[in-house]
Amino acid sequence: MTIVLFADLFSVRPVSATLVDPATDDLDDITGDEEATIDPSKQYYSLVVGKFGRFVLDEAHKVRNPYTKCAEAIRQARTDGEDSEALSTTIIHMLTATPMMNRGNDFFGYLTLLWRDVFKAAIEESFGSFCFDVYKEEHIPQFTTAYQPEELLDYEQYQLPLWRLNPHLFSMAMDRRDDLGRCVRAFEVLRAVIPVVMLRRTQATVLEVNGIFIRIGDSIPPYTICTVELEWNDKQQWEQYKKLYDSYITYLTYGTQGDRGTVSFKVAGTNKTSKGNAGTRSFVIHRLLAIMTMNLGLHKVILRSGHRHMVQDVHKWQEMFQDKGMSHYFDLTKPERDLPLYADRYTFAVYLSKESPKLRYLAKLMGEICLSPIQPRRALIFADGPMTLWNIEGFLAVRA
Amino acid sequence: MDGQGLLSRGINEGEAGVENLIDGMTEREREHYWNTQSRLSTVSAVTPTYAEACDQLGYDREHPTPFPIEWQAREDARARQQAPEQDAADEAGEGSSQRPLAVDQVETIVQGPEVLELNGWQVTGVAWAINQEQSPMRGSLLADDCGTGKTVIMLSVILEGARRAVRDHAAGSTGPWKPTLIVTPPHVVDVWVDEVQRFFKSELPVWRYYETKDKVTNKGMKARTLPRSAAALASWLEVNCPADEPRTAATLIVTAYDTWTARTLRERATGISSGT
Repeated sequence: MTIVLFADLFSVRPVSATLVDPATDDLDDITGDEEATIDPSKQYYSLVVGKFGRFVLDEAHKVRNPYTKCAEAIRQARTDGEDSEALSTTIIHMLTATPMMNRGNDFFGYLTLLWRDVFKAAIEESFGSFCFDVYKEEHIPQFTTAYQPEELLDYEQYQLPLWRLNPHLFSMAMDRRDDLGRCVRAFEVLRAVIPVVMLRRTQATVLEVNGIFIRIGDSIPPYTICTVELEWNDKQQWEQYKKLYDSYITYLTYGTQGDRGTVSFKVAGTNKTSKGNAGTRSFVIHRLLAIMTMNLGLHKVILRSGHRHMVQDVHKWQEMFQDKGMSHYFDLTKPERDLPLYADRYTFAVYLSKESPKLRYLAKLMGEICLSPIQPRRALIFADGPMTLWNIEGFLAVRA
Repeated sequence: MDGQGLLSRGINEGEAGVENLIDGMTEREREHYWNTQSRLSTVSAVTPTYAEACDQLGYDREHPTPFPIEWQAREDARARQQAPEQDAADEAGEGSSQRPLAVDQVETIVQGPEVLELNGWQVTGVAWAINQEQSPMRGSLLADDCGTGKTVIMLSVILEGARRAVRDHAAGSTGPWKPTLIVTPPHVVDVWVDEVQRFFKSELPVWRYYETKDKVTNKGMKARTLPRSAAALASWLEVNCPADEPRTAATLIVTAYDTWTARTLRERATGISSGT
């Protein structure tokens, strides 16, 4: 049975930290931070090198970021001190059901672990200029014959140029900054790389066994989905909210460069650290809030309004057309430039909540609470940040 | 955390909250469901066909089962070949305590290993992974869906590796053979140990490099826990996993990502900082 916990991303983090009980857990098992990244200016080594012939990484998406200490510990254990020959003979298997969690570039981490110097081709230095070409199907013959390292030519199934697995080449070809034909490119690059390294069968995969075609999903017990709502007791809730408050209030009030000295703030889910952001005026934080509260519409507003507007602007928008600024919101988020404003309030409310499951949920909740035939009650809504508040106010005004 | 404050409504409501995705569907909905599923992710390596995979691995096509390795029988056979007085001296002296991997001396779970019959896609997966091992890639990314048996595939691959080691040994090879390190998230360490003991209890000796002996309460797990420091691990490997013994290739050591990182990764002192 699979249990899906539908919870705020915000509240998940601190909770998981408390689940580790120091009494039963080894000390160094909890001090090792999974997300800790390596310091590029330092060199690392492993105390246990060259002892293992095969590495199996379960839930390998944990090492999809090659700059974490976890990934480094495994890479170092595979080498034999100075000698990289040992690395080339050890085997590494990675198991994961979710190989690409966020983007195609997640593959970069796996390729770093799979890469062997044997794959290297002499041409590598000049890859930068035509890095995408080497992934195109029609160029394979040309590149294969010219640049395949000799010792690999014996393997019939690897006539493909293995140097295409070079993580840096891959990363260059997948680079997001180059907008032109980006999607097509990523697709082609992945299609060239994946079949060499990854085996993926889904529940829907059909294969032939002894003349009978079977579907994997029919042969294993199906998933059951069960939603469980969990409630804190008062004490726990207070503790969790305090922890939450303590960990974020500094960023929101002082910014990341407050009177406590320079604090570098790791942007969740990325490798970027932003330094010296100005608290409530930091749009990194506001965009994170918009995404965390599952409101993509707001995310769009922040993106398109040029990252410069804040509380006073929101007030200005609110008073502009006597509709809590919702027509301005529509202007900022509409999918096409010439789309006219919705004529009636109902369709407009639908539009507002389209990109935010939470607004829809709120509408349902408000219906239950305020329009209850038995005992209608009043509701008090708290929201984080002026943007979110604006959005909710506008939504309720339109919906009322 | 005591967990008493956690009130779970869904469970109290019993069956009402549980929804079975497949069984409640009509035939047409089911077809649509599978079509959508198959469109989701289709890029993948190509495996050998089932028949090819069975031939390659030597499995029975009706009941594909990984071959057991009779370590005990091999030990006995070798003991018979050796001179009896040398054997006696071995047992009297320190030899007996250093005998590699005395699995039968360790008390573990009570029930015997189950016979594992692989599913069709697992057989092709094993064959593919072994091909990857033997090719220049020397590695793979196995990304099958949840619940389709990635663990079992991997254990079968390791078992095949050990069988190959036994075969090479019989043909006169002296290795070197090395054990396998399995790195998992912390809560899965014991699942792996259990899984190995369930299916390959006598074939694959498994040890955990996680927590320390005095912290573990489960008796079976305690006996399988290795010493904490990296130096102790290295010397344990030195004694118990000799490179010329094919059984070494069957040995598994399970650890957690964080544990492995914290215990083995160190910063190299650079020129400047070493001056302190």
